[in-house]
Amino acid sequence: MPSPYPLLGARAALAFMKRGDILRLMLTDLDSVLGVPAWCRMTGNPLLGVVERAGVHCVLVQKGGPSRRSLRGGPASNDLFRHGSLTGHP
Amino acid sequence: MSKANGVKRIALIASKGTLDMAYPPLILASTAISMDWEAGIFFTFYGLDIIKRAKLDHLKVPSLANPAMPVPVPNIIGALPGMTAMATMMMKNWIKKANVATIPDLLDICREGDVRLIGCQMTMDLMGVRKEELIDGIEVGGAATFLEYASEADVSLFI
Repeated sequence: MPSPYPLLGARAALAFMKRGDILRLMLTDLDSVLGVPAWCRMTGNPLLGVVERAGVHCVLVQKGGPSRRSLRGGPASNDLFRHGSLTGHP
Repeated sequence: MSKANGVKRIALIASKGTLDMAYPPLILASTAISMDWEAGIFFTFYGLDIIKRAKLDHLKVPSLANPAMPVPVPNIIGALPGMTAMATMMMKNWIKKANVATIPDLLDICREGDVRLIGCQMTMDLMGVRKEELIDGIEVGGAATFLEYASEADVSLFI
């Protein structure tokens, strides 16, 4: 599914979830995968991890604070991307 | 200056009516929506074609003065009849192959996401476009309408 559908879908799904719940996204387009850390920071939903297998990225996002909140002071949520092997980048 | 309620806002101007240049404003606005931002697009001059019923399905890629077109050709070749159609067809094939959302799809997303879509009144006067020629959900406004919206935006881009 092409961007921007995955992130729009994530937003819609999170709207039905409670704070602390974990959303699993299975992404096949790299554009959305690369956008996930920024998206998580902007929406205040911490990114828990990303695992890639056979071209599909499994992304775990925890529902954070109330939706429609400003990102200032939001959690820095892309540590896994920065340190992890998950995107294939060092 | 951003707004007091902390919700971020992006204000975009879409000034071009080619298939390639219709994507940036619509992708940015729909992605902004996915992040709970407010988004607005001001369609002016040729950008108005993006929201014209009769045009939005038939936006084209220019083959002239476009060194980055699907198959780069000298301008003298790009000026030949049929070259615009060819460049457009190639781009549409890429779009299909890469499974990228189409312009009508992106417009639907924007409307469902309450993106403020503003058609430029001055352009409509200039080009003799009536409001009925535009797709549903379009607000007609002027430069002042956009500037008021953009004055409280965190991101403003002219495309």
